[in-house]
Amino acid sequence: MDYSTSQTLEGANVTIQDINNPNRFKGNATDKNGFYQIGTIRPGTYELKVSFLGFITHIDTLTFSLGDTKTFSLDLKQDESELGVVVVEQPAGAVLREEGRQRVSLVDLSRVPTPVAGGDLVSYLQTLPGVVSLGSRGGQIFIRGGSPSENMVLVDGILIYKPFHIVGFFSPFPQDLIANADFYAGGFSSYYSGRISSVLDINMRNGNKFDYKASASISPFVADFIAEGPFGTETASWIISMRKSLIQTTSKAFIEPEQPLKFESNYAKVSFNTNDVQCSSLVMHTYDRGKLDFEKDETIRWGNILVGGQCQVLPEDSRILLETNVNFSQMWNNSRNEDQKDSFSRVSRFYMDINMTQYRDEIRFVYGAFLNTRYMNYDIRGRFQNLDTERYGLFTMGGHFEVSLPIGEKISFKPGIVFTLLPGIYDPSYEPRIRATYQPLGNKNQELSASYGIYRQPLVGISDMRDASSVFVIWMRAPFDGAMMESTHYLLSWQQAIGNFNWSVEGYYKDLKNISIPTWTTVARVSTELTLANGETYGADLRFEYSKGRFYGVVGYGYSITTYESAQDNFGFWFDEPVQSFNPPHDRRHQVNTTGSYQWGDYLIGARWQLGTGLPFTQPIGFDEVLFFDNGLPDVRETVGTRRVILDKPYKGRLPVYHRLDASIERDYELQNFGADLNVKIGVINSYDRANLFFYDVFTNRRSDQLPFVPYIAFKVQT
Amino acid sequence: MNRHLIISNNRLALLSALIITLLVAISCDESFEPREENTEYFFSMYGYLDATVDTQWIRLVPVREEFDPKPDQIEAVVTIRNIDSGEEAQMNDSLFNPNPLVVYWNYWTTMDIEPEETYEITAVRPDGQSSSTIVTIPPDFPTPIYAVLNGDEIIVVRGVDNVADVQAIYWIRDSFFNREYIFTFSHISDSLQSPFGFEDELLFRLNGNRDLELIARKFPDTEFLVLQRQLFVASAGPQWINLYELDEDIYTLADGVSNINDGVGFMLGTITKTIPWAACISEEGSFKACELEKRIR
Repeated sequence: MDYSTSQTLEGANVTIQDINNPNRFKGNATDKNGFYQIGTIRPGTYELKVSFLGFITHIDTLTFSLGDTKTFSLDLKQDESELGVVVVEQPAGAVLREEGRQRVSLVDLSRVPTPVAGGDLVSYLQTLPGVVSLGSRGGQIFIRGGSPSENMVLVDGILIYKPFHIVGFFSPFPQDLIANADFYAGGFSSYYSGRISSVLDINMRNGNKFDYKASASISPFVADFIAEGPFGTETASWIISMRKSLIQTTSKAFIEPEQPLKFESNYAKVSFNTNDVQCSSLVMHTYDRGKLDFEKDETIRWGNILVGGQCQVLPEDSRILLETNVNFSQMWNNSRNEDQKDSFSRVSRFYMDINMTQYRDEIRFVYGAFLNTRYMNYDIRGRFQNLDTERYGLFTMGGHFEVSLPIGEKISFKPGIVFTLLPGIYDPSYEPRIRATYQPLGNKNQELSASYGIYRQPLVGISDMRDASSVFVIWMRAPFDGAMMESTHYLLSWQQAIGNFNWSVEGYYKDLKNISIPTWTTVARVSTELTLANGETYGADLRFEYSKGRFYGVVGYGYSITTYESAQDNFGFWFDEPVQSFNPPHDRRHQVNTTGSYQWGDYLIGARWQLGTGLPFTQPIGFDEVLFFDNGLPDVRETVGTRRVILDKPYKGRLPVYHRLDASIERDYELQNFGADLNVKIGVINSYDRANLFFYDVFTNRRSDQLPFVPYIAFKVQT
Repeated sequence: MNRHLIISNNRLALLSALIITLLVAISCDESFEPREENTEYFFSMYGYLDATVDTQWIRLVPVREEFDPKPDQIEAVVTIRNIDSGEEAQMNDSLFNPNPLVVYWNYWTTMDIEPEETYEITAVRPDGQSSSTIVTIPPDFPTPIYAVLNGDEIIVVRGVDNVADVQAIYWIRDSFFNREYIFTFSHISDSLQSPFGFEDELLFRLNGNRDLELIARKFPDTEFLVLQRQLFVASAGPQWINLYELDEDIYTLADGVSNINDGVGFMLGTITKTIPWAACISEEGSFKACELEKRIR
């Protein structure tokens, strides 16, 4: 663990070496819980060495007798003199994965130019191939064909339903607040259940146990304040933060058009740590409000409330790590415009689980049980024709089991299963999953990995996918009885590290069933019916990373095809065949992301260029007025007619290519008189002022663009 | 070894150059044509030919590229041709501008329209592209009968394969402004099974109270007087489909409801009858057909 915060350190090297026989050497790395296991140790005296980049290496001597089992826990102190180097030479992490998991580090976040001092998790995620964001506003992220409601985002184990802010660069997870994050674009383990697309597991950092510290930052987009300190003894700490957007006010002065977007997030966490027990609890509140189509009269608002705690217990001389979570989360959103009454939806969730990690020699078992109660209410009269107003609960209970089974030095299997009971609603669900890895040289530098898994989701988030600017979500049970959303994942990947150069490729195929989508219609209205779609997503991600000295660069390319197949009455009238295949509006075929940084003396220069091919939309062919016969013969002399857009087949057209270059340069100054550091960052968004289309309204022949060229300067003061 | 390294480096450079060129080419693609080029639909055509009236009106709109209509004169030659007799006439255009924000063009002709004959209407653009439709007028049918059945007001229509419309027409005057208005309500969807089992007999319920409630909503602060009530029945030619059973989504599909070749819209042939909203009783004491009236509108 980190001595100053008691944050667990994943990937720390733990080695033992027989003092009398240096050839007798064993080692392992700590897992995400800071847990490690070294088995089959012969009697003798050993030198234990624990090292982690940026921390002072700890060396100790241990003596083992026959049959001894020892538990050895320790904290590593940060090596202040090495910190500057760490930023530059941190091992590359954007390419190599471990068991399908990509560990997102703070260094990764800092490399992505973001219009605020420090990075942000959501800005980083958008640099990953396979991650599609619809633009600079909306807070919607699609991962390998999965819609936002199919992604699981956990904050210290607490589910957050709408995790990103309305301005696309920002989330409640700035670089200064998080310890790290684990990202699974698919093929995640049985530890996670209830979502069918991806998992983002965020670990928030603990406050400092010894010193009071504070930081404040401001940019034209957002202002942040963070404070932290000890709680009396040196075993507990607290941290609070406030983040508030400024863009709605500041955009009047320097951005055309003005950005009627507003957000804020507030957060507090306390943590308690001893050698055997780590506990923490947090509370988080977020609020977003704004117009995604600046010219429409529709305003969307949403908020999240998260309250919960988690504990990890490792009793002395025990081989079982016990982890438990108890939490509550709630999300609400509403949408208001002049033509209809408010649409409102809220979902509340109470969750508790207990999980155990246990080693038996080299075999690791992870198992546990969970209880999950959700309460939903919505009033959406006028938005979806076959939905109205409803309130009900949904109770789920289940368990998970997984075993990591190494076979020799090169091969390992990781089978697991999730069992879920949803009494009275769905049949019991069994979701088997397995991952196999082959390391030809016996280390992670070359690894072939394959995984398979079935994923089901009992709760669906319905949104109107006909309109990219619509982010209103109704959380509900699957609207068609017995049809739980389901996805089967198949993944195959290869990764290789060659000196300073890493590369990886991962192919994936997802078979989708029972996806709830709005029916396709030619009528310009917010109201529609829902229907079911099956489908598939397949593609590949390719990543290259180079890190040497003061230079770091990563290039990612993602190729993806998402196809839905849906039966709709209108298709029968149109195609003479009621079942049709089409690419949904988030189907981005090609995506390229490049990020680079260079430490030039005291200056850190960063740049990000991203390119995405156009998203599908339905093209208009022309316009006329339609006269209806459904209420009698129309008198053409008296009847004006209803304005109509004559549309082509659904989603046949493609929006133009999207690309943008963001750049920044920053430097730290020491304010000796104040005992503080000042960070100044100057940057530009969309440096060559590309007119990137956010969406095109086929009913009014109108385009709405994303952010134009925007310069910014950001300051951060830190004690 | 060095040679291999050099070759590898050259290949890498070549590959990099290709990728960069490709990316630049993709990213420089500024073309965005939101509209699909229209090579399918030239005109939008709506209305019906009525063998009962002297003047035929149809709505004609060029399928346009802009959302808002233009008041410009339509560049089209519209003709109507009796396929059976070969008689042909050019239809005349007429601008309708009910208020400053609304403008549309209709085409009209006084050519005689006969029952059971078939007509072709064609609209031709200056570039030769055209839209056309075939309309067949149904046979004449007996005058419908107003009746009261088990306390319900109904209208009985006989000798008709398809009924396109059953309207209640109200001519009213409001007592405050002393202005006159005409309201029509369609009862086409209020059909009943014939209690007498006649296959060629169609019954429609007339819910006059509902009509009057709807009219009253238009005059919340004043009273109104019903000056005259009529019933209007239209039979339909073979082009008829049950349009009142289709939803708006189907209607607004270009090919959802359309019988226009190379265009969009719907044209129909009809015979219409207008009768008073009153009971006419035969000498035997049963309901009989009243005399036809001239339609209020």
